[in-house]
Amino acid sequence: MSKTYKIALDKLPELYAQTAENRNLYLPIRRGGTLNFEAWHKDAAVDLYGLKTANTPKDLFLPQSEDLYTIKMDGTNIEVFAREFFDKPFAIFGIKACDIEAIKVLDNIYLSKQPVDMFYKARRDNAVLISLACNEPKNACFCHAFGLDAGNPGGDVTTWINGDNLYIQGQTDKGSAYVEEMSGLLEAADFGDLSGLQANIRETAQNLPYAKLPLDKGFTSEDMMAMFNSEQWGSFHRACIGCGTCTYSCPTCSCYDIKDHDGGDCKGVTRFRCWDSCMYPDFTLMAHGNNRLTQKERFRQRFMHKLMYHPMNYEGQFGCVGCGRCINKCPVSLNIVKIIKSLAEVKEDANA
Amino acid sequence: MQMPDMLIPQVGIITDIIQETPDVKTFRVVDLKGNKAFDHMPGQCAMLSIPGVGEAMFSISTSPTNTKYMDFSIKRVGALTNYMHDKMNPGDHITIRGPYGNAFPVDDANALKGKNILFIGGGIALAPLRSVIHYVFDNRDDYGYVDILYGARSVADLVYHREIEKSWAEKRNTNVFLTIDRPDDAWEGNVGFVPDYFKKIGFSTDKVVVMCGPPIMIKFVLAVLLEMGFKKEQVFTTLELRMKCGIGKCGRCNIGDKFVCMDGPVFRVDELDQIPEEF
Amino acid sequence: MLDENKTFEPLIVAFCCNWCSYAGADLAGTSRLSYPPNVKIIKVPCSCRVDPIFVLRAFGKGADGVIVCGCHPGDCHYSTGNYFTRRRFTLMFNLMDYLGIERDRMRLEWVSAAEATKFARVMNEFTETITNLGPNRQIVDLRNLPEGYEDLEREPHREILPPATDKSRDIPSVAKIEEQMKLRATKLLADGVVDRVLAWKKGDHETMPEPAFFDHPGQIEDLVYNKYCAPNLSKYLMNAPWLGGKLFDGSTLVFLKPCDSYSFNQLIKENLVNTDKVHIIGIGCGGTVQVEELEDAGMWEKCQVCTKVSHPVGDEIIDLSDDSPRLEKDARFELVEAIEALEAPDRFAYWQSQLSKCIRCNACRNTCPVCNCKRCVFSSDKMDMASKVNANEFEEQLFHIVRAYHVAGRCSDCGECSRVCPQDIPVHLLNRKFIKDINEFYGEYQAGENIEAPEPLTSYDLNNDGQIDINKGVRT
Repeated sequence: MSKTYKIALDKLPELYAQTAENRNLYLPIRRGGTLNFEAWHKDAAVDLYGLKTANTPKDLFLPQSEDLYTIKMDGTNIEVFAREFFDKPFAIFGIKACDIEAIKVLDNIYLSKQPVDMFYKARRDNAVLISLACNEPKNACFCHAFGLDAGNPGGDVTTWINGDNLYIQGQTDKGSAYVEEMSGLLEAADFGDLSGLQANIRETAQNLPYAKLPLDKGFTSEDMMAMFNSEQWGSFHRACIGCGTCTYSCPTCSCYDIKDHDGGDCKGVTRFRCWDSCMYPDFTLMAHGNNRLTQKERFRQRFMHKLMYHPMNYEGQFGCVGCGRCINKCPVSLNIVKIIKSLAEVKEDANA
Repeated sequence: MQMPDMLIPQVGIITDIIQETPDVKTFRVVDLKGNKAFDHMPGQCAMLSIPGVGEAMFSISTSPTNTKYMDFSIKRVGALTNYMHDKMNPGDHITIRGPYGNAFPVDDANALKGKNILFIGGGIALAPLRSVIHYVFDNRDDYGYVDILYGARSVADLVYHREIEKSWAEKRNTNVFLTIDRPDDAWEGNVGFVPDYFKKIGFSTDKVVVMCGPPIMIKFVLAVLLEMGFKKEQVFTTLELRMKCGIGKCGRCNIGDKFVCMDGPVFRVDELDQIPEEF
Repeated sequence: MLDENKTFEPLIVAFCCNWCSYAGADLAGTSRLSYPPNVKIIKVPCSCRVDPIFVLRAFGKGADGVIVCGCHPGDCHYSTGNYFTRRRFTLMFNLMDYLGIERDRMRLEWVSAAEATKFARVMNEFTETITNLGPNRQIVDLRNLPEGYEDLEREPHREILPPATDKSRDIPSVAKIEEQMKLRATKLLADGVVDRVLAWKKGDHETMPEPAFFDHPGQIEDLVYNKYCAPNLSKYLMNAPWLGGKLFDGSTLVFLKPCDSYSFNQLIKENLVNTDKVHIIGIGCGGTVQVEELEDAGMWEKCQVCTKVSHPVGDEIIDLSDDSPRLEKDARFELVEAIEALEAPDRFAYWQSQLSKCIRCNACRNTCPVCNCKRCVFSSDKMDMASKVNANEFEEQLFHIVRAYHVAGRCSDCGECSRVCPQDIPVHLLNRKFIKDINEFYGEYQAGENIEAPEPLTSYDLNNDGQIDINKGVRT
């Protein structure tokens, strides 16, 4: 394990400034009353104590709208100009354990299978992930249910707020290099100082209302068809308004659409990709029909994908990380916890 | 140079447009140098697009043994295909990327190779089959008897009609059966739906079935196949879903743990039982 | 700077009605009156044809100023067209002003066919104004976060609206209301008066009740009513295509809080619900609360200032006591006034900082009871932004303005849009500005209160409307 350092909390602005010297720095900033990962500047209202950002770090790897290439047309002649890949190094500071895990989910989708997504890869290669332990996980958090440790969030660099200090530890080569770069601001610390804090965090996390979910009941590939055909799906979706908030606020939802923007004769056509949501009626609409005609099928797809299909494709890794954003954000209080509990009941009933 | 992303297309040229039926045209595409844009296997697809109009997945209807160009037989159904039908002329540019998807297992001795093959097609779905059929004819010794059962709404709607009668029917050890839905004075062949005609002919079960067509036809033909003693393991078919990326990331062709653009579009019918029926 | 101003040639778009203003422009030409070549005229059949979106689009496509010209009130070729124009643009210019967008960039003028001199004068004046204002960037940048926060000195205003902080009051009668709701629901279901019940269902956690349909009396035990039952149920009774599912044939019992019943009444007014198939029970409300992390995070601002204590529609009422909040005065517009009181650049900075947070999910639209178009203009593939973000497309920037405008005069101020916003954008303050202006200019109007009352934007008042200065947005 690499060495542990610390820096006084009131010196953090210096750390931010030095970090931002050689790269862009993104961290939780409260602006317009909302906490989001945004680019740091010296007057930004950095808030490391807000538990969850409204948007997730996925924005920095999969921007909501991203130009892929430009096409110039001259009569019927076409010329394609690929966009240059993102090449500015950047650091994201203050990512919580759930969001770090979510980036692993995205890495699996975008990088683990050929062909890899080069746009994503370019951003990912340029990023240093600096995580921050959640001193006070709250009720809607259920990362514990997925085996995550909010007290040891991982990433390239892990940090903890302990007393008046921020403790820092490099986890990967990239992270250790970053810590090395900052070493002028840091002083050596004892990792043992953190044991009390970590124990507290774990204690809090595992006693939260949603910390124990019956994920061991029926979320395996043999049960897929039974789950899919469960009668429970017949009622959930009736409250769903199909707004897509859950998908856009989800740190792992990564489906996208590819569309054209016609900039006129001089600018050509820009083909871009943008977030899309399986909750939208046109998601699977084809010229000759739609295979998910009602909200029931669309609703089911989202949760089946997170809880069954994704784990089947990626060695049991759930597509949910327990960040609880859908619990906080769904306009009609539908959320993945309700689905998990209810599906597990199906399984129990079947066994009974 | 950094490896380009799979989402970035190359520019192709339409060298020829053939009117197959009143609403189907075949577009012949090569790259800017006049060569075939990329290699592919029978059953694979490519993304064609007209900037500002749209991008969509089409099956390649020529065989890998054709090393000069690729054909795409395209029916007029939506914004992009309407544009292609109405506005495109030989010499026009188009963007193309691919190949995408798996392929019919033509070289797998446990699947198609060395077997008698029965092709069943309906309407425009003969396009992906044509790729396999050409491949089989070009490697004729590797395969057994070939039966082709193809149906369309009317005589005019039979895609590749001339090619079927002049070329395919003349190949050795090959039988072609055509049927149309509606009677026509100029038609001396069978009139009726594919499943009924299939029953009437009464194929023996010592063959592998490769089937493409509208979902409703597949459903009924499959029932007849099973009734006549075929096993699901003997039947290959394709699924068609909305696709945007072609590389299993954008999520819209996801059914169960499969992404049709990567794990499909070709499925053995028994594999379809393992995924939710959302196609 | 001076040199730049000299070389700046503004692009001005003038929408001119065919019968008066265009003819006036014609006459100006044939009379050899000169007006600047910067003015590009677009002929429209009537000034009423000019959708406010046209004006916004013109800005989006690079116009620096937009002027709408029509016949003088009373002279409309179609009798009444410009009466609607008058109301429409009064409200729209005011909203733009509210957003901090320079209102001098847009104008409405009455120019008759004979007023060639006036036409030339107006165009000269307007061009001069726009030349002095310089190039237009604002409306294009409304939803962009300026690079590196160039406007940092404006940032202090970002917190103008404190989030709801008042801890809610637990109102004892709500529990009694729930009891009675269950009794009535069970009875009506059992008697076959209704085939299903639309209410809130107990969630897995106290704070998480969800809207639900109950089909059997046996399910009613899960029915719940408390301060967490915020979702407005009225829209579920509408046939909304994006909600999917088949149109329900039978009759439904629905429980409506006062604010929900206003929305529902508006839907009745718009012929979007079949009242024969609905049995409505109005229920009392003590205010609903924001839930963060499964905890009561204080009463919603919309509930703190709620004035809707009665039900404009309902077959029965269950409202037990007087302890629902009854405000002494209408405090709804305090926040609107707070924004109005800011200087224009601060207003712009405020709205820019809010609207730049938008992630273009469609929560506000999908939840809004009067966002009830069968096919939303923002779901149109023709506009290339089918429900999704398109950072390149100008229409994207317009989403909130267009949506606010589309519901103007129909919005009953239920506040659902702001409640559901995942980024906590106070969307409802756009609609409230419209409501405030309508009240001030055209008399008190509460959408959903009375289905017979004419809607403010599809009616006019000859005596009153002329007294409002459209371009300044004040009563003269």
